[in-house]
Amino acid sequence: MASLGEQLYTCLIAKERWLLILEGLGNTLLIALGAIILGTLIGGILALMRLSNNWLLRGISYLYITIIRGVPMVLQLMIFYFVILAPIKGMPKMVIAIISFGVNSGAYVCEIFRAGIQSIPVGQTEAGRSLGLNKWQTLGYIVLPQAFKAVIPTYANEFIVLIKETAVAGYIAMRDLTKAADLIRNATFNAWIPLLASAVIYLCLTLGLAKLFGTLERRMARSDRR
Amino acid sequence: MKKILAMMLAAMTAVSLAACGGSPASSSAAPESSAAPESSEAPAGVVVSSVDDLKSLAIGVQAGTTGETYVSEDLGLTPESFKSGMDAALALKNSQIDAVVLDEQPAKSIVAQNDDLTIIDLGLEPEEYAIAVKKGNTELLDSINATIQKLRDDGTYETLVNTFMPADGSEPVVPEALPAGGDKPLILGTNAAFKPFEYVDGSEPIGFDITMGQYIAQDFGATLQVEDMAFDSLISALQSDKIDFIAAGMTATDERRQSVDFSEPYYSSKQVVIVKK
Repeated sequence: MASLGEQLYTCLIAKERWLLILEGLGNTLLIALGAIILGTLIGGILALMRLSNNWLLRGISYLYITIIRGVPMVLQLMIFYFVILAPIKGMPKMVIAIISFGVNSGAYVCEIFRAGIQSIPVGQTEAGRSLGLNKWQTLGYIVLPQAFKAVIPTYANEFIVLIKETAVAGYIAMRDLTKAADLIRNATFNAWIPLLASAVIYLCLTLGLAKLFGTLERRMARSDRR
Repeated sequence: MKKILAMMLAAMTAVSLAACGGSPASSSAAPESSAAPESSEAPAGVVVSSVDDLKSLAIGVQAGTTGETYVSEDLGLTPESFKSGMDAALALKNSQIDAVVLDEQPAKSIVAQNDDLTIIDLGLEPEEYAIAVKKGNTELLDSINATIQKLRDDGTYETLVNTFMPADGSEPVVPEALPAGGDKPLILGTNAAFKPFEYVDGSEPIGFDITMGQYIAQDFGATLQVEDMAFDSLISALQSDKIDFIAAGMTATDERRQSVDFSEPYYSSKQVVIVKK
């Protein structure tokens, strides 16, 4: 067996294979970032629909969550790629990936937001309304700011899960970080260096993200009377 | 926080080094553990001299290939289906399976890169590779057939075969990409884990099929784009217009003819068996 140095050289340096990893990392980040933005938008709207007094809106939101949460992500990705978005020829794979991961994430984000909003005691809403704020003002100035603080940990968790879920993007010919490891494994017949290298990169990404959200959480907690 | 990070990194390094130190140890330990009954046949190399010998083995294949069909239908076994022939070979090297059934040329490439593997030719049925287009896309199909004929007539085909499958088994020297024939995109779907027909060595897919695709695109007045996806997704990608044609060392079988139209065959191949030496 070749020495560690030689193996590292063959897997990462030779034939500029590190470029594959870099390209994969870029795609993974782009998908995750786009998907979390789309997911947050969808999730926010769905959460409000879920809590509305209108039975139709509640029903739509409930149906969406039931379907999306009940189907494996990798299947959803392929359904979007091969079926739903297939008629739109020339749509970039990146957009398809962001849409499918975002739509999926939206269902989870909705539940996170709903839990956050419902965790605010109803007395807060009552107080706001009795001070003369209307329904939307109460929501915007009283409930949501407090709910926002409450959901940061679970929201961060969703982001972290999403980054790791993008590893299935290879199914629709995307070159994400996992696919880059595949390509290197196929070219070098070395399994552990490319796999461990991408594992370490995923770990660094999620560590960094956890730290970022941790800081945000501490900042938000400054005004807490505890 | 920095301390924690530093410790984490140190731990990761230690783990990876340990993993590295572990692999040679475990490979040298393999013969000892071979005393155990389950892997007793592995170290000496399994003996495969006829098709019947295959029937008692754990066989790896690439998902969606004719090798998979052969093992499951003709032999009546349940194959271990991997995403690529290379992954199957890797599992073979790790003794997780006993043999791999794969197309001849990719098998040769794999064995050329791995000293501990060898090919057994059981003289299985020959099969013909062809290019697939969506059913009814006669415009593209006619153009592809014309290109294949032209390449055969002017000797380019011969040159391509010699370039990508050198008789001495040396590494192919990939020719420069051809200039495009026009601006419109023509998308080639392939599974770039099938050396020498298509593989990634560096950053872009290259190989016999890719270069042939460039000739096809040139004659069709288009720019070639390559989509690298799972082999068993290629036909569905073609049907949902994600790709325009498949050049992936794909054998023109009757089952596939029900879903796609095939060009004239461009390469004759057969399935072989890879085992450990």
